[in-house]
Amino acid sequence: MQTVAPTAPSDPHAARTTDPAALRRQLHALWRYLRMHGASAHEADDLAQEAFVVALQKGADRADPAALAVFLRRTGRFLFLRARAGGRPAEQLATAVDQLWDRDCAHDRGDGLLAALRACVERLDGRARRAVELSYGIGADDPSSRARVAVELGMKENGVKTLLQRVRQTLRECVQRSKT
Amino acid sequence: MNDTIEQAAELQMDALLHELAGELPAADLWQRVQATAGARQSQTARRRTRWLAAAVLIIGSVVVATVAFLRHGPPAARQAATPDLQEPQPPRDAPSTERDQQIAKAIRDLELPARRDVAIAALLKIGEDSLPALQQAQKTELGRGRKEVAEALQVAVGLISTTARKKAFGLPDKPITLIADYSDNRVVAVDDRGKVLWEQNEVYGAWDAEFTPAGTVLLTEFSVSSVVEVDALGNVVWSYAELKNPYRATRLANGHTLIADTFAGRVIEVTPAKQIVWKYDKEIRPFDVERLANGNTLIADVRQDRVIEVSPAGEIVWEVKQMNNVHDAERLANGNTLITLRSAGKVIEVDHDGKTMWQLDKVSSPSSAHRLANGNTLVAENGAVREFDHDRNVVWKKEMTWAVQARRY
Repeated sequence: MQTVAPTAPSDPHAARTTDPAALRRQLHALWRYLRMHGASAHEADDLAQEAFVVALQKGADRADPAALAVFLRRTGRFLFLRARAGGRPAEQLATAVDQLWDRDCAHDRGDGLLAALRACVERLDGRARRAVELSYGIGADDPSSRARVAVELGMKENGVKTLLQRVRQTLRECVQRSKT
Repeated sequence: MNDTIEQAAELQMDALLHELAGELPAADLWQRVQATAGARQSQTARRRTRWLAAAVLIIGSVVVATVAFLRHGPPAARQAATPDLQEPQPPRDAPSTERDQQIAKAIRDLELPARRDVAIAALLKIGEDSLPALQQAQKTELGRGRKEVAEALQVAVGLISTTARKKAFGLPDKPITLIADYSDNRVVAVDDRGKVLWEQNEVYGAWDAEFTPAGTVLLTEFSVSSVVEVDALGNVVWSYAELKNPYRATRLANGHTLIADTFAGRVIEVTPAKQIVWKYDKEIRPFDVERLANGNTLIADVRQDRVIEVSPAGEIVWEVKQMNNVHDAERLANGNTLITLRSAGKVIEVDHDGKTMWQLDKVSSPSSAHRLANGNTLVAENGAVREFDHDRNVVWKKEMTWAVQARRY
């Protein structure tokens, strides 16, 4: 530790040949994977950081990219479950999330799924599309609360909740269709 | 099982929709990974060097002792000439009856609104010697329930203890704010115009910082799992590293250090000799901890989304639940508790019954909040530290990368 003007941290991995851009993509994929487990964005930041540091310490970044991806997901899952301490139900849910990841995302880190979802959202129309855009802040500054969405759409809050459930189901079916 | 798959599919869809809306990993996440990995590598190297040095020292000492024994015989023969190895204790001031009387009078004056300014001026003149009596008065006041007097005592304690602390760091005798920036791995002290007056770099995963009465600063390094105490020149004077990603450390009046050892799921009280003399580890993940004037310990427990007050015997004597993703908790002089809820972007003040008495909304991922002597609230949030008045107006702001702790001295 020093009491001096700020300096950029030295790069301990400079001698390694691994492409930094590829490592950044792995980091983003891990973050996305943790978000799918239910981690908040900040929590996913913290856990992805910790998992990646462990991987670097163990030299996993010099391994085959696929092996690194598996190592990162296992470590990330362990850290997430440790942080939640949710017992068996949480582990079962995590296993289900892993199954979906292996099915939909493992081959391209979920990029294809995201692109398919974008196309499916654009195909939505009317109230369904507006509800998703307002609730998630797609194309807007900030996501709106359910109460606000209800006011905007002239609906009751429970109606918005039901509408969003239906729209998400439609989107899931649309995404699955686009894969076949 | 179908329900579980359904739930997982919902989570997957929800995460992707958020990402479609522009929610991405922190812009500096890769830099944070590199800095943390580098720090851990250096720490491992330092540990190896220390072990090697210790081994050389032990072997050397054995050789020297053996040679000395062979030349001069057993140590018992030389005991009388051996100097006392204990460090000399600084001479204690003789008790000053006159000064004690001045302190007692000033504390009595604090009870009278019209005499408070004079009393605080007198106590400031006496300095830190008045702190034990003030803290005793605080304890006594707890039983009386006079909130206004309790607040006056707390203000006096705060003012007196900080003046000396600032002096040790060459900081001016005007309000300064000490800020821990997690993303930038640094701690800064800024003045009221936001000018950096002092800074400590390479604090890896800086999650907490506070000035201690000893004229040092106590730093909590989340990323490298350590708590270090450094002097004004940056020299490490004490450290404790038997931890798993701590979020908070505070120096107690008895010289011990209270630590929220977050990922180890415990709160521990550690002596300067690094002995654990108290701990609480019953199904908690503590993000914040403080020792109260009544001897109990206040804990922000993110594992069970609650704030609890625990007695020295480990009994929960007060609890407020449904505090989702609670990051910080502070007991105020009026007996209420100020609580920081990171996910909800809120800071709330609750009374003893858990009823919300004051609330601050729409703060950006707040990590800590403190009630200042002027009644305002200082909040460390993602992107800035902001001071809000009672009506929620922003009266001061310092932009940071990701401020996680801010204290006003």
